[in-house]
Amino acid sequence: MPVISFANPKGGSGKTTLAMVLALEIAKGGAQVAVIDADPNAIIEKWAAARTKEGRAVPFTIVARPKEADMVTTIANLSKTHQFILVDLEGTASRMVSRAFARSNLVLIPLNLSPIDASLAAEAVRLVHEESETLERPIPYRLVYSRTNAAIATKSSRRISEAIEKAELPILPESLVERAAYRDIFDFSKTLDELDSQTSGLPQAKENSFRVAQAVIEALKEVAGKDKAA
Amino acid sequence: MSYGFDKAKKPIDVTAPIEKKLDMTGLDMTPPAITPEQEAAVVAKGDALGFGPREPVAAPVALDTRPRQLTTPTRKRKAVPTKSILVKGPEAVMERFVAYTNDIGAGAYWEALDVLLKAKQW
Repeated sequence: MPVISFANPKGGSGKTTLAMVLALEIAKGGAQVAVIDADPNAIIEKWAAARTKEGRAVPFTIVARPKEADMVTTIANLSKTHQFILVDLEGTASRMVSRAFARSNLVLIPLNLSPIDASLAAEAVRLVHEESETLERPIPYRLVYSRTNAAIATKSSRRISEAIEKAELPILPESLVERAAYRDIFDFSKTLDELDSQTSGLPQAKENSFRVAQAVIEALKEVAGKDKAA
Repeated sequence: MSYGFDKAKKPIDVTAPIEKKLDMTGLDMTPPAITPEQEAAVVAKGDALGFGPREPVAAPVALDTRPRQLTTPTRKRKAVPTKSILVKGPEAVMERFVAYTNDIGAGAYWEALDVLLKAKQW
């Protein structure tokens, strides 16, 4: 029952989309998933509420807006009944983030390849490093490029990815590509499989979603292997 | 001879479920254990890095909504006719008067004047 946190103090970096894509893929794979929606906007909770209103099932459990001090207990309680716990954190630097990191098997830090996203993602990385030092154990993390353009890499995006590679920071080998389908799942309160051909690039989005989820599972396996070795 | 025209591709059925399935075997992990002391330490570390408290503080104490007659009666100043005068004088004298007003705890210059006049039995 791994715990995965999604963090970047910058709003709009792709945390919620990444959390949603993973939750849907893992639930589709047959696992019991719980999402802690700690974003004050509670976008995932609203997605679920709209589905419920329309008579469609919600494929995972959602706990919305937990209190900061309750984060550790909430994770502990959900871990008794669920195989995966995903924590969608708010887009600000808050204690909620510190508490969630300490209880996570893997921290995913999504970022758009923009200078602001990159510098705020660096703050999240700094927190991971400092907490690891305090806890005297590594907190595994991966940077995840989100909303990447499938066809074009801009000069600034190349500069940012070069800086990350130079710093030897761990990057998820798959990035979340900018796709209309990722917007439509929120717009229509649907899953990727429920969208119809009106959504452009849907097969590509499904392929990307699966690859990203598989890359996260591989990262978790790597972490689990290191834990066993330790 | 095709003249470069490829055979039309079959339309993709986007509603067809993808056959791929995630391989989630070997993930027998548990959330990392954390003691209250460790949690306090990471919170302090986060605070130092700007990851501080963001929750709203406790709601303000409710206002006293008791009927006015049940609360301590407030002092009401009797309305008296008022008049304004402009006093212009040497800076040192004005400053002494302001200091005197503050020193005796008068709430207004006219109160300080009243004290002075009463002292002279004027």
